[in-house]
Amino acid sequence: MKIRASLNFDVNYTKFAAGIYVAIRQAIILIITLTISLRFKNEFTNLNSSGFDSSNIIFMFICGLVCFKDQFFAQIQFGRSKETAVVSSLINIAILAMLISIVDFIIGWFYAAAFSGELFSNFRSLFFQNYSGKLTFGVSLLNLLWNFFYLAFIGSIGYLIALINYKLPKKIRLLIWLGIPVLLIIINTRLIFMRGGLDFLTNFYGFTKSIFGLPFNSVGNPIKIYLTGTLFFAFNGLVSLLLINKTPIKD
Amino acid sequence: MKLEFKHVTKTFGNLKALDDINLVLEDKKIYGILGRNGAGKTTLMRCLAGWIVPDEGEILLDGKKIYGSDELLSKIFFMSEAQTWPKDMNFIEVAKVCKDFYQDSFNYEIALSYASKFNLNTKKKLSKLSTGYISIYKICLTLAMDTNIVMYDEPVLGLDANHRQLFYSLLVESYTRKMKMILISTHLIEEVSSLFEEVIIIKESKVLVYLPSEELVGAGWSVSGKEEMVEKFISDKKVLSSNSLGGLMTSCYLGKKGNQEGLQFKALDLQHLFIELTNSKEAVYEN
Repeated sequence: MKIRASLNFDVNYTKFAAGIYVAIRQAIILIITLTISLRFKNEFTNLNSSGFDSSNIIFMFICGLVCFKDQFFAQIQFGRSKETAVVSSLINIAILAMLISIVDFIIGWFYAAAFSGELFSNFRSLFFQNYSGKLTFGVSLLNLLWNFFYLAFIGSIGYLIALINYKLPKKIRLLIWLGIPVLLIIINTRLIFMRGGLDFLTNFYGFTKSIFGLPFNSVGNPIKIYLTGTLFFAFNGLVSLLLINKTPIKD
Repeated sequence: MKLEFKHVTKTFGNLKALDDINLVLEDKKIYGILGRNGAGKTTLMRCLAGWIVPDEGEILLDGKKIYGSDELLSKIFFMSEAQTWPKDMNFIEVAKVCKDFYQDSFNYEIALSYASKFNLNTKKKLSKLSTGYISIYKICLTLAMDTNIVMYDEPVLGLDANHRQLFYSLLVESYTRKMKMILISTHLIEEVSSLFEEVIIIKESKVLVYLPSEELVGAGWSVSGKEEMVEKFISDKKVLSSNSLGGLMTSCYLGKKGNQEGLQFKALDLQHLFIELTNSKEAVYEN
């Protein structure tokens, strides 16, 4: 397997987009923090920073999609086998997940260590909240690993979905991508009525999260997260490899 | 280096794209792959590039299976019509990527000099180029490739006459710089036929003809004259087509040149022969 050039190409192709994304994300967090700290002087414990965590998930998912849509075909053009292209893309996704996790780790730890979370404000600002769980080196390291595993997993899902989408005939593709959301809405609505109210929705969400190695509530078992994250990443990679084997390159 | 297609068959749904293809191609030759639209030329090339897995049979390079082998696939370059090229990169960026992937088999400086000869804007992304310049973008990179096998699928698509002429002269330059196996699939047979050393004609997913081009050029003739004389002459020939008008008749046939008085004979050029062979309902040619 001649993977060096493939990996080099993959990393170079995504590094610019990843750099811009990380820069914008950190800038937004900083601007919001500064704005809040200049405007308000009370505590804002009800502020939620999960949107910023979600942005990482969305970014990695899109990266997974693009890795297949653009980079896979380029590698085929440049004389690599489909298997090498898939392996290279998956390693690239893992590298990207690690880079984003490291950036979060460095900023969070540096911020916490250097300024005790009170550089811009003397209250629990959004910036503080975003890194509230990373106040010590140990906790930050734990967060880094957690970020890495679930981001790599999300990226590999994006890749697999793009691959499945490519393999499907147009009519079936339309049917599936329209049918699945409709089916989920119907099932969800029925479940809500059957189990009595929206409480179940929260539980269902927590349950789904725990299946994928994410914590049911705010605290998760890190070993379980790392293990399931790795297993799901490996599973997605294996399925991708199996699916690509006989897939013809279309126009 | 020997390239072998052994009983290669590929079906897409109900359509048989390749039907029991058996070929042995040699190194350092220029092959013309000809066929009508949908005959199976591109599928054949895609199988060779490892893009499509044949349902049956195998493709061997020096006795080793090509499919799935990075080592062998990196000895092949395929200039395709497909959207496989990184569309968000400009020519210089892609040339650097080619250098990284193909190393000594890719000539970076030569690629840039070819781009300059075609007046290609090397800083413009592929997605921003016109159809003609997309072909030029691909051509310049492919001409700079010195891999053992280089394939061109419809290379002159959208090119004006001047650019086509330039391409043909650079193709010869590229071939003489490093002798390699070149496979060209094109519909503009007349323009490029003089470059072919061997010709493969594919008809309805099967190899109809595989011959050196000089043999093929003398293989078909047209005979003209009075209807009864022409009819008598062609009675024992493999006739490709016949046209009569006002007592005069012209027939195209496979075989040797005749010498009957009162009849005019003219050798069919490659394009004419190709048209006659692929138009006729039955595959009449016997290699």
